[in-house]
Amino acid sequence: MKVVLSWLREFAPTELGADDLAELLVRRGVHIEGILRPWADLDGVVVARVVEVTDHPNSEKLCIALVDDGAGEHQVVAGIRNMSPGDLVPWARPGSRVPGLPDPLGARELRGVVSNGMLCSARELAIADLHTGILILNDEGLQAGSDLKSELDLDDAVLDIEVEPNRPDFLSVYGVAREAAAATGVGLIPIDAAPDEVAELAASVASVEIEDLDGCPRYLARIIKGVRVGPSPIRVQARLTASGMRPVSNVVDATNYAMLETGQPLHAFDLFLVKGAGIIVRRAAEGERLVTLDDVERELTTEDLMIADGGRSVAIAGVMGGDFAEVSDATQDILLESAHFTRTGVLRTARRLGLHTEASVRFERGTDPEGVATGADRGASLIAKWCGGTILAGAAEAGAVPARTWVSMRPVKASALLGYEVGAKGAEQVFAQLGFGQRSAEDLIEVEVPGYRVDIEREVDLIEEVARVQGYDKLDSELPPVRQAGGEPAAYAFGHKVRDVLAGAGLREAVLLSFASSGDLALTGDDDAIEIANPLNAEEGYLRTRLITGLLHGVARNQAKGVGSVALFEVGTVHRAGDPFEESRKVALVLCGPAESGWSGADRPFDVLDAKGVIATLMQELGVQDWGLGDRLQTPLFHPGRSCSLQVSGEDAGVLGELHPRVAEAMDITGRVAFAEIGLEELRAASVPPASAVFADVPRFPPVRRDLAFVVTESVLAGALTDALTEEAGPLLSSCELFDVFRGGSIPSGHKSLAFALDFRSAHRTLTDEEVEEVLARIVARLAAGFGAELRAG
Amino acid sequence: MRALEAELERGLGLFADAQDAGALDEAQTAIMGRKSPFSQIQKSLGSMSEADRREVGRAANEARTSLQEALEGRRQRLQEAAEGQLLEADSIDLTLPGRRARRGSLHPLTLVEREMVGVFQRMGFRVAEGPEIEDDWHNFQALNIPVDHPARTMKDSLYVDIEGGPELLLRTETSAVQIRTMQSQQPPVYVVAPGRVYRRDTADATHSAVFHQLEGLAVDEGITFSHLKGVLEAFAKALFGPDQRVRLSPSYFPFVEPGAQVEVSCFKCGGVGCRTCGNGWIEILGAGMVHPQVLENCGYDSERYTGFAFGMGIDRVALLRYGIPDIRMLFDADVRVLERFGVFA
Repeated sequence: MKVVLSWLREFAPTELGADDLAELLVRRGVHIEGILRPWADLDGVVVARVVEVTDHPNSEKLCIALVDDGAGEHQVVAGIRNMSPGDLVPWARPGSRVPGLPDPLGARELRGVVSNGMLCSARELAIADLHTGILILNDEGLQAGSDLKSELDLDDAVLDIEVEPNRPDFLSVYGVAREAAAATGVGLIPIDAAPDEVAELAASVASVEIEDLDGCPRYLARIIKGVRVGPSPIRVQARLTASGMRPVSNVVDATNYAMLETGQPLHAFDLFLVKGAGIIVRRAAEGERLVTLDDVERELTTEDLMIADGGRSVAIAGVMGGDFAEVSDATQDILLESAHFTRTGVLRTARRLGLHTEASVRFERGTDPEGVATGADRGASLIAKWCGGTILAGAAEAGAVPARTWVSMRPVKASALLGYEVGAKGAEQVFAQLGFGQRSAEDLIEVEVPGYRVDIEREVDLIEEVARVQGYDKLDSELPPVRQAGGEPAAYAFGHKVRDVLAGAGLREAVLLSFASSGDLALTGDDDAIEIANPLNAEEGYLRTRLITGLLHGVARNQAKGVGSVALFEVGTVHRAGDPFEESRKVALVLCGPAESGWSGADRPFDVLDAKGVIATLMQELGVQDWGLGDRLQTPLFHPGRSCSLQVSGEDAGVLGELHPRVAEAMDITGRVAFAEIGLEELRAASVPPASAVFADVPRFPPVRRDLAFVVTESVLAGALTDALTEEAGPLLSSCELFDVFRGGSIPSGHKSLAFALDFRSAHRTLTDEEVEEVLARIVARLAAGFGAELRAG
Repeated sequence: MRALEAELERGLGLFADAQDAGALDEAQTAIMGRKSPFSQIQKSLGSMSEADRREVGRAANEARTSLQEALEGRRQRLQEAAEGQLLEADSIDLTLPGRRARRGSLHPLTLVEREMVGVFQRMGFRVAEGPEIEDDWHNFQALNIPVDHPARTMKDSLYVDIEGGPELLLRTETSAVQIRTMQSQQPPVYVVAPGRVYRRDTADATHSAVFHQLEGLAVDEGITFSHLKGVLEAFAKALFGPDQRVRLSPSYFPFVEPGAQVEVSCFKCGGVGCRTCGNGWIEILGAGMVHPQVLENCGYDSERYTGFAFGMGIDRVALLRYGIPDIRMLFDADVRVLERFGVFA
């Protein structure tokens, strides 16, 4: 809602400037987003009288106007020729400024003719969005030579208010003025609405019938006869424009002006086109169609409330008129609708049609049922004032104004909630300042809720009024007596531990959006993604089924930006369809590019064994001992020779591998991409906290170290050989590290040498060479028998 | 005697001239070896007269000691010289960059979330979590936003298609966790709920369809609006510095009443007004007293218990704190951005 300050001051005549008033209102809960000054850039434009208009010698489009500003005659070239000698027009002199142009005007030559400044259209002056001609100012009571800005009150400020749903009364100038008057202590001036009526009765010309009193408790139709449709006064157009509405015609502008001022939406019908001159408020027939004013055919349901005449629907109640009974240039008599439509009905209709208008927005949030008559009176007066015509006595009407409700508040309860002593007196002062009726009983204040305060329904609503009006600065600052220790669920803590381990392992944490595209799903082969019903774009059509796709896109983006080495991880949530659907937390990591950096680094790209190393670190830090590799992965995302599932506690819990080169190419990624993804809950379930007796295990006796290298055929897996070695070695083996894989040299082709560094140790004594040699001999025999492994000399 | 003196002279000279350990060893053999003249003299002592033997013996011993000392001294100097050469050869260009372990980092959202959550935990709040896919009741109705409430148009929700099930959506606020917490326990409740929320928003510098909130909820006997202010003030001081002030203005959220928008004095300019804040205040969160209807929706006695709730954008705090100009930079996995961060805030 944009509230023009001079308009507000008509009802709350405060002396405060825009900034001070805005600050005061903000402190009372009026959400002011900014202060606009639509005419800040208008300066030096004056009213001038057209003396003559002649053709431009070198242009068919342009013309030359001679204008008189009272001080002399000036030649101005104009691009349009809608003015005649004698007309008053806005002349932007050389040196003046207009909102539509960045620089001050000068004298310049246009096709060989000097133009001293320019004549302005309504748009150039920010008065109306009209650029069809020079603005003619004949009917505004202006003199040639006077300053346009001050004469038309164009030095206004505008409060830009975000109206929160609980305070629809702020959707009117008067509503905001009411709050401003209460806040500043100036008296609130009532709207001067009483119209001059002729004797003829409105009820003798038109009738109103309400079939659905729930949807429309009250309907009132005023009749204005003999209007002349044309443009409305320039000041009115300027105010409407500054309020964010488009000037249309004097009749429509009058209804909009009255609505902006009072908050009561109005609708003007051409009385001649209303059949039978009777208004019927009824539900639509199922499937009924109506072409609304915006030229769209709307299909309606029996939920929708309609305004009908004797024959057909003429408007969707509270939303938009139909094109049947629209006011046109030929309109002479007007039926002016002012009604109370209940909010839920209008809200449902407007939402279903996706049609939210200035009128519907007010009805959707709740209008004042007591304001129906005021709105009708104000609208009728303005129509008569701006369009001529006479207002018939009274109104054709139906329904009734609902009775006001009373809500009570205990000052003690208010004090208990706010944390400071409110006191009965203090509360009464608040309600009096707000203009609420009230009566006090023992320990209780009963408050009469005015029709415009649709938000006050129960005690707490009144307590809020007290807090708001007394000011939040009154609040003390105290800490509550929290009688518990802070903490966090194990799952939350676990996720953060995982982050710490991976950051410590040299990876950078990324946070990515939760969406996946159909392309992502095709890459992963996942067919159980949850679809978003109303995505903003196709990229965000599904919820991600795994974290890895987002990280891969991240790798591609980093490479595109020239980042060579990428080591990222994410801890996040994924979803999968099913009954019930699955929401689970995962950790994923991706490694791509040079594995080491710096002047001495080996020139080696990341591969799957780097990812495996990170996983091993993670498992160790988390105390997950029972983990290992599962089957190779054959889905299209994975490199078939370098990927397998990850198992925790014997069950598949994730994946480890490299990206299939074809997929990498499709994603514009260069080089090997190693990655892993694993379920957090699976990890957590298998995570064993460090043993409390950890110091008892610190060895007292030195180990006996032996290096053994075995030559095996290529097909022998290092893991299998290691497992067998470890098993055969038994409890004396305290550590076994595979430290070298060697091919070539003396190793026959098709073979490789695997070298192990073995530590043997006893917790009770220093081992003898004989004991160790005996174990070594067993190992050699076992590996020879099981794998054809040959002990390599040296 | 003369020969002895000559040998001593000769030995000291040879030792001093030896340029390496080998030459010194040779000199030692030549002067003090079994067959050296010096040894011959000592061997010949037995054939001397008692008086001569005493005199020559003593002189020989003295000479031997002198030679021994000279030898050891020379040996040590030679060793030191050799070691010096070795170390000199082993010298390194210390201006080369140091070798570093690969550096990892935590995401700014994680860093900020930990800081924020930590402040509340130290005040006795516990972390609570809830699902990202929510039903209408938890996300709206229980929070005092019935189907026909105008506040439903305040933000657009993203709905998910789940066949046969009830209508579900991606939670628009972490406030749904308030409801789930109250449904699962009796007062006293002191929780904070960090989490991911969703809006049907077109992304720009300040909007993202995915962002993060930290929700807070306290429900107990005797909880007041002043407690809310006290907790938020303590939070602001802990997060932004001890001189922080907090300002509450009336605002509207359907699930609280009275509601407040909460501003902290600008931590960039100290509250005098700058490009970050404009007027010296930075809006960081919405808050208020839990609406009695919400308490009742969760089965709490709204006469006996009162509470406060607040919700703030973790992303927003991260942007402010680190001066990140565009929220989209948080979700881009751009290593050039991420490497500005470490493992501590």
